[in-house]
Amino acid sequence: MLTLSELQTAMREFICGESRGALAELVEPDGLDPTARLSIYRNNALITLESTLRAIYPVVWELTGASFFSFVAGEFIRSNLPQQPCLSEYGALFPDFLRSFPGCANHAYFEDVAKLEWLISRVLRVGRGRPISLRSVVELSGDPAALRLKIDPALRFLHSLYPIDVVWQQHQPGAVPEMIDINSGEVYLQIREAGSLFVSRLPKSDWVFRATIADGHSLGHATEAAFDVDSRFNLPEALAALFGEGLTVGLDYGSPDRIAST
Amino acid sequence: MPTWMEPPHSVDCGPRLRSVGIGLRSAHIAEVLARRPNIGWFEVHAENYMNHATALSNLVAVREYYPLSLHGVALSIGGIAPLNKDHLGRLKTLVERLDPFLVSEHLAWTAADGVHLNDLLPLPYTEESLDTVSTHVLQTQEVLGRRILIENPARYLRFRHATMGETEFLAELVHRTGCGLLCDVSNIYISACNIGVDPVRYVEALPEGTVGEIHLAGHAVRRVGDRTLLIDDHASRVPPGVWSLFADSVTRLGAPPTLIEWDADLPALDVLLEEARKAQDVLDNAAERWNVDAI
Repeated sequence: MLTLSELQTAMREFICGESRGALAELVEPDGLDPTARLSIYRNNALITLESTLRAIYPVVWELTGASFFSFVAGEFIRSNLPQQPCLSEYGALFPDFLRSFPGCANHAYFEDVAKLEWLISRVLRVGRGRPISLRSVVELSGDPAALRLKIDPALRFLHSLYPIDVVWQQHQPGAVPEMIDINSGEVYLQIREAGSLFVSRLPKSDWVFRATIADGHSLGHATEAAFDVDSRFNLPEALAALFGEGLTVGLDYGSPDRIAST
Repeated sequence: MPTWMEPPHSVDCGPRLRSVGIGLRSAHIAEVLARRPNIGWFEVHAENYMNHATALSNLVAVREYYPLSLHGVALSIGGIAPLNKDHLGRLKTLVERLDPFLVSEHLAWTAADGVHLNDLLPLPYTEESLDTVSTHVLQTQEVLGRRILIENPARYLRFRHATMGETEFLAELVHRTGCGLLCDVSNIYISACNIGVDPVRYVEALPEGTVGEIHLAGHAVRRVGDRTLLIDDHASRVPPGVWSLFADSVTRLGAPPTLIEWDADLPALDVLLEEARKAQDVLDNAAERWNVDAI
């Protein structure tokens, strides 16, 4: 007889496909192979996890087709079982898994579409912050270059070598299918929940400016980074847009807090 | 000693006695707020509102008009590992925010060795399991500051080394912790088919006055080898056999608040409301019989 701890480890191993060992011997057949009875629990667990991935990555599901998605999701689940009790936190590593999955080698943009869907699932979960005005900065007496702005938590940034925003849009309800040139160039995307979901392209310098601030860097650092990619970067216009669009929700000097961008 | 620990461990259903609720899923929240349908209460899965500020804010709006029941699915009450304190803390935060009239969890485990399997996995009904579940129920009640209900599982197997039956296990759990029971009538029906539980005896063996809620749901029928098994998938209407068991059991169970559960292949809200009306008819008919009997 196994202890409760041994039994639960054996069942975890069975569900993960690692072994069934002595577990089946503990189960009353009641007219059926004990392994068939145990398999119901395994199937239920795997179906739940696959459904979770499908709910987070509906466009990847459509791009890959149901059978292939089911196959790749099964492979992902076996090597990436949830470490958290809340299923909503599950699946963050799925885009990376797609990149390294042999069957996706000829579709490198799948990974970026998956990254976009993960970020969308995040911005839809967090509450929006309360915007502050540009006047808050003007009224400060310290060095503006050292200032750190806090970006709305319902905002994310993503760069891709492929027009994944168009791919994503084409798979939304009511979209009219069109041919997409997947090699038409890189995109710098801002993803935001503000009553509705907005996935928009930004000029590279503006994207670098905002993404650097969102990463927790100072205003001076973000300005330098933006100038590095485009010497025509217009700081006053970029700042006015940042506040005008209500994307800034706080500010401080030299706070060690860094704002995650993913 | 907290009040829920004091004998005789009976559950007071209060104003929700004989009232019917439905499981509320995010796809229906906007419609519920717009229509405000005539329904006694709603139940939600607690985990769907943890780390999800947007969904929680919508649920708070629903709470302004309806009583809520919080149903946990991932605390792993039957797990040998200690309860996840962060998760328990998140549950406490939700309870404080939503002031639900019921809080419930499952007689099952969901995590082992740091892996969360997200399925309600079976326990062997032994003294060791009883000690584990009792400890975790007591800890949960202490943190939340209130009694919780524990739900009987849908079973697909029996362990050979079990030393007691499920109802004996539940009765002892109630005795040790003062918790109440969530009697899932559908799960009794499923266990009857899958492992030969006698549903009538099962209901009769539950400690009287301790059932604080009933669940009703649909199930799938699967052929495995030459056996028919029922799978608890919450993806269809309550089948006739479950309605019949519910009608036969409701008097014995004390007509507590009764829930229509539907999680997968979610239908229109009106379908759920229709199922709820059927459940309400059963409860009302039972109440009429009581009145006749009392004359």
